[in-house]
Amino acid sequence: MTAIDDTRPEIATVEAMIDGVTVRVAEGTTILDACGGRGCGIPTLCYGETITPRNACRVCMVEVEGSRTLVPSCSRPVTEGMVVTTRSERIDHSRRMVLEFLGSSVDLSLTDHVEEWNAEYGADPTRYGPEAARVDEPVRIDNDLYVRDYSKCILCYQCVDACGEQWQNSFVIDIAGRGFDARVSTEHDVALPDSGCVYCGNCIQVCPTGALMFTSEYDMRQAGTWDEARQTQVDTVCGYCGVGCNLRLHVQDDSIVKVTSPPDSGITSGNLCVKGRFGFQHAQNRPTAD
Amino acid sequence: MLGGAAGGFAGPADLDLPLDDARLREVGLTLGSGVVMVHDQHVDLVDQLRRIAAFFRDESCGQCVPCRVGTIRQEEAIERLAAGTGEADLSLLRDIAGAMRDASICGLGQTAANAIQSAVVRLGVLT
Ligand code: SF4
Ligand code: SF4
Ligand code: SF4
Ligand code: FES
Repeated sequence: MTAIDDTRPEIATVEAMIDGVTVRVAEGTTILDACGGRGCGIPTLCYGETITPRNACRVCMVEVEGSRTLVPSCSRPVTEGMVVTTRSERIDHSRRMVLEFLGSSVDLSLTDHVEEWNAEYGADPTRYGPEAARVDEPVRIDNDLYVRDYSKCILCYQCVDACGEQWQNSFVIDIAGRGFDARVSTEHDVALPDSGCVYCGNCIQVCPTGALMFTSEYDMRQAGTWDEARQTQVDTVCGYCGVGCNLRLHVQDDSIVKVTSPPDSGITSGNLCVKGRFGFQHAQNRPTAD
Repeated sequence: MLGGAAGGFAGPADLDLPLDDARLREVGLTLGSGVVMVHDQHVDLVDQLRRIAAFFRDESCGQCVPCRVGTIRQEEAIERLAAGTGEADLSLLRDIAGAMRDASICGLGQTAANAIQSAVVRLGVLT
């Protein structure tokens, strides 16, 4: 008979000081998570619920004693004896500038919290003048399922990582170009139907800016009928196969208008395949009078 | 100018400074790449700053926001200042410099405002 070893390995912890309070957290915990994670008061843009961030947006910066520059709280692990400050004139300045840099170059109208953060940090994206260079990209409508509007894109890398090694392993999109001309792109910027895209929509799920959007949502927004206040969300299980992915149906006026998956779902972590994501028309085909 | 595009301008008052990393650091300069570029009174320093700003805008890889957007906003502000705008754009330049230095991922963005700020502060260029 095999004895069951139920001794658990000790979890190594580290002690640090955050805003004057001593905290003890598991080794490897990020500063942001030690502060309570997303929504704890430190703004975040490139840190999504299901993606390990590339710390590219730099809006979550904090001060660490002994560090020449500010550090990204979403990615920097707490180390023993670390002394962290999460709010100071220097920090607020950087956050304000990142908000202004983004607000003056892309359309953040669909990005959550931006208005409130602009107010909190005194960011005024208009002070760069009307001549300030903007990311000027046509809306890409090249398939029936989703639309790409890179004039809203903050280059958070989340779609790239959702499509690539963090989730889908399809590697359809990546960053092309550099500097201010960097863009998310398919290979050689081919239309999605000519790319390797399998339309899982996992990139749409993680996009924080509305740059990637269900065609159904895009069309309704264009028509002025998109109204989140009138929508309900229904969680259910996808019926297409035996995996049992969790679906969250967004319903407006008795029609499914888009499908997401709960990010905290233990089965899918917010990911789906094309059937669960887009295969909902049959559920609402109305009989036509003939 | 010491240390290349990521370095800084020393002024006429600094001519006796020893080329020593520690001493230079004390006065806010750096040896950087080791390059020493001598400008006489006939050099158009505004044009030099323009070229430095364009260089960093061009070299930014585009990964992080402070450098990707900061370098282009820095260049735009310098172009406006060169055309004769005033104080508001100088303080904008300072604001941009602070965020690039503090929040960029790598040394390129962190130093992209060095030379320009040193020319403004030490030599009064653009003011
Ligand atoms: S839909 Fe899926 S496969 Fe297509 S680009 Fe997005 S993540 Fe990649
Ligand atoms: S398209 Fe969306 S998810 Fe992708 S980089 Fe841009 S903002 Fe991020
Ligand atoms: S600071 Fe470095 S990582 Fe950030 S955009 Fe500039 S070159 Fe790229
Ligand atoms: S949220 Fe931390 S760098 Fe973007």
